[in-house]
Amino acid sequence: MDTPASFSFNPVSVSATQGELVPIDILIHSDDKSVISADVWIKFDPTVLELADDQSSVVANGDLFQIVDVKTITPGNVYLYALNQSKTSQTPANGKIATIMLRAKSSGNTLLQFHCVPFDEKTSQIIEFDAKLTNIIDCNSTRNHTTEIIVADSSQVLGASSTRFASLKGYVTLAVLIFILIGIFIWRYQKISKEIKKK
Amino acid sequence: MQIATSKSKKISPKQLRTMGIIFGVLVAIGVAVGLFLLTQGAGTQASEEMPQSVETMEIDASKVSVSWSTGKETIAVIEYGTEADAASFADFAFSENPTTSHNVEIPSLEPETTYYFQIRSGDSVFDNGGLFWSFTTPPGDANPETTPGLSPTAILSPVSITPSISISPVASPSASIIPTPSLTATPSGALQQINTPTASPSGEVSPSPTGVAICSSTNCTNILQSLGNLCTTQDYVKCLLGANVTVTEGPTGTATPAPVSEEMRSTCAITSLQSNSCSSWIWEDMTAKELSCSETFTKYFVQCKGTSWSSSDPAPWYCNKTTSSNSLSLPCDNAPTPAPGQAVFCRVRAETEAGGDDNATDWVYINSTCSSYGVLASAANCQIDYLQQSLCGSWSWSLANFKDPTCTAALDHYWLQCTSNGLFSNPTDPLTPTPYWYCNTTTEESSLDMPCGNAFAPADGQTLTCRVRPEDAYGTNAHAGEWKTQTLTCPTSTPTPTDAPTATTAPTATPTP
Repeated sequence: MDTPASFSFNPVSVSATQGELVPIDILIHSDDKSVISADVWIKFDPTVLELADDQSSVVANGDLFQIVDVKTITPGNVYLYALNQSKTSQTPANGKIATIMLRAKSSGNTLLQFHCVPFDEKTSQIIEFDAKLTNIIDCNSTRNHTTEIIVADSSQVLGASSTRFASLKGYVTLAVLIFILIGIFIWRYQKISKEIKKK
Repeated sequence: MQIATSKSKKISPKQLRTMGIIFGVLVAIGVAVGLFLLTQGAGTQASEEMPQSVETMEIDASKVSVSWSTGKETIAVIEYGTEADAASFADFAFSENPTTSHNVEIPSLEPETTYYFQIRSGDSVFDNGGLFWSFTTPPGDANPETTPGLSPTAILSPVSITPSISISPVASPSASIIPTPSLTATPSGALQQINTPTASPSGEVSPSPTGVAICSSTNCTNILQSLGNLCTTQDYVKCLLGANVTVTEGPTGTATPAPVSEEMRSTCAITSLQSNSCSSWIWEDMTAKELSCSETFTKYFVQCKGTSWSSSDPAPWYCNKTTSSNSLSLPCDNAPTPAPGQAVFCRVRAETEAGGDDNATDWVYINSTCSSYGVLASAANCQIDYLQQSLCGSWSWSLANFKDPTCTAALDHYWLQCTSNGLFSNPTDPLTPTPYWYCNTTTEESSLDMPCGNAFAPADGQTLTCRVRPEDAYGTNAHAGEWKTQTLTCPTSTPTPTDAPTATTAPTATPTP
């Protein structure tokens, strides 16, 4: 039985801080089928992530295809395509299509997901190099491959509970401030009391 | 003397300075607390991000539009799933630009499915007070052959019973002798092997969907520049390879040839068959091809079974029929439902009205494996705790152990039945009146407001008996909890509409989960 052709992400889980660039590998698995091109539709929460379009290294070719490019179609929807233009360069594609660079926009969690719905107008595809240029992607397995990205606030420690940590830090600061002020008050009161006693 | 001393202390400049220091310290503490609260964002930001006037609108069986407004411009995200549990919300959709008036389409939904969602707006998550917002997609029309009334599993599997079939209130509201015809339907037996092709199947799986992106340009550079918008890489490669690609080649607008030529069969061959799940299948539509294809090949012949097509092992058949639709949902007519974890092998071909191997395209093959969902019978204490009627015809119920993950994971829906006299089958005694069926339906909700389907709502003073049980995706007796039965009489004076709670209001008589 053939292995269904699909895409996947690497790594499957990432932690980042706000503003940090997050490289994600897009992998392809076509078993023994020769692939001439691929359309990859990726979606994520646009309030948490964005494609680092302003970076020259927003996409790095994984050496399986001659042409690779990526673009943001709408916030949270990224389209990546990979092409071979030579008839002699079609080989089974198993490995990394490309590495795309995302930026952690704000704190939160999101899943990177492949959009793959059969016959959808904008769906992920893996095009086999056969007489009919057959799309051999298996959407079931492709949709199962996701990456969870956890973005923490830049002032916080990765892995800590962000909200609770922020509150704790604030309360400690407030307590120290109050202790200092009370200390000044007691010191000043004792000094005045001594002066009164002397008189 | 003491008085004089006291007076002297009150007016002492040192004392005044001490009081000033105390006052200063208090002011400093107040300022510190104020600054702290300000930096903690205890303002109105969250309230401005709160979704207002959340509304859902059906676009079709697979697409719903959700709209709402916020006090400030945000990019809001809808997190949704089929269970009322935020942890299970694996999918999301979002407004693409910051706005105060949000309108988000949720695509790729399953028909006749209840979805729950919450809205993440800015830094806050709004879940409708923990109840989540919900909507139910309408039935799809992709598979008209599998009508509920034809299902022989009606007795054991209420999923296929709809109130419109089982309840036929053609008599007056007071009539109580309308039986449920579909409940007495007799299964037609094993799946018939008709028109099975004699050609030996290759056994090769060929999942090969093609995109439907319309890319009309013949300029390859233009196509390359339009990738991700109108065009796909498939369009670009076709353009590059030109005549070497045969997908779109062939005559157009020609009359139906007879007999079907080999060229026509090849041109119109189905190139893609896909499964969204083991029970949902879709293949390339002839109408998406040349006109001559849809004119020549007017139906599809689809077969599904439990073993590979190259295997000679005996296997259960899950479908074997012709259909005009380019999709299929299992169970297929009177065939059994694939078991959890069962591999399902399907193939499809297009046929002319005459049918047969000589008048059909080649088979396209694919297989899928059913997910192994939980079995409710194996869940401990997965029973109904209470069943009650808050207002006349407004019923609600709850699981006894609704926090048990084994139970909630296996639970798929509830089966509710209500009759006028507590009989849930036709009486054997001819003197016993046949019950009037007020309800006989399955629902994923834990409440139901009558009228149920096209049955009559109970009248004031009407006594009715209802029973409900939890069921897993199979829904047979072996896959269900115990019935919980309740007999109640509607009050003679129905409360005015202004006092009536909404359909989603939980009853107050019994604590609700």
